[in-house]
Amino acid sequence: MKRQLTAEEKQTVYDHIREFLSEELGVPLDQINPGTRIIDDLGGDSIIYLELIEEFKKKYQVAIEVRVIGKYFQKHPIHTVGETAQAVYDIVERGEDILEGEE
Amino acid sequence: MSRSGEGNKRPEFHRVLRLDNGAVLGIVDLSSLDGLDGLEDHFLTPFELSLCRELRNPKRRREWLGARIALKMLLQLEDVVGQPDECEIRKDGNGRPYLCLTENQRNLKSVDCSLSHKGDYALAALTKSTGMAIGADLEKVSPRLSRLRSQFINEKDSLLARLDEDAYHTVIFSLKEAASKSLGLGLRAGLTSLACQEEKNNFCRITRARGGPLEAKYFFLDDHVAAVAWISSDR
Repeated sequence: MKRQLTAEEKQTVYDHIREFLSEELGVPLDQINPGTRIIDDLGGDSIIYLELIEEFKKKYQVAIEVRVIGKYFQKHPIHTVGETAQAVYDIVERGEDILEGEE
Repeated sequence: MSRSGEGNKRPEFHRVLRLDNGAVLGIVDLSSLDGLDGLEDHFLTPFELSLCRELRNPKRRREWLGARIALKMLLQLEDVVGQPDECEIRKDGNGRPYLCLTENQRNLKSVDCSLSHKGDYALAALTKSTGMAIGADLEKVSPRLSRLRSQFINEKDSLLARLDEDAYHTVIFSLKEAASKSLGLGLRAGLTSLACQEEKNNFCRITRARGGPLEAKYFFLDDHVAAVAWISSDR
């Protein structure tokens, strides 16, 4: 399953991630930028990543196993808000084929 | 290495548990660390100190330090080291912790360890059993994990204790997270493919689609769940 996100859609995803983190972690939006580290700077935990995955899988109706996402994270570690956004773009655009060409 | 802080009040374990397999768990109450001076200088090597100082979030920094203090105290308790700075806690490419002797920079392969922290507590696990890989996880009972259950629940999961929905899901998640940490797999473990079944007295067996089973144990710590999982040889 492949789709291409527009620049505007990517901005929406990015803003959604920032708002989600701000609400969940009680951090003002102006402290959440592309280079902000979710765990080390914002005090997030590993479960927050599962929550983000769940959020975007539902929102964009993406069928992808968490195990596949885990493999993707191993190749593309996500620590920052920007890296998380890129991961969500890839998941939404490529779904289960996210590792195509990388395995 | 600075010995600053010697003679000052030192942190203590909130709880120490020894498992039948020889592994030992140490739990530190993070609030007990507040107000204690010189902890970073006493427990951390220069490299660890540099990592600690990169953590801008105070809560994160406290949790990070608390987990390392717990492990360093376990290493001393088990006579692996005499002083905390004789050993350095590093992480491999999978984020799995391992130990390195500061004197000669050699990896300490005779022990395996795991760290976790959540809310008010930090947890460290240590085993000196040859070939055993250990993973530990600490979670606070919350509805978050009930909402996420589709990402980790297997239809064969079962616990003997009668727990409410949130406690049940927290226990299952924590056990599977501990298992994935012992295997060094993280999310790649595919938590839904792990089946966790309690056999007796909080002792569980975790089976997986490929590879041998893991053994695990869980216990409650106030409104937290602590879990430890281990596997011998087959990783």
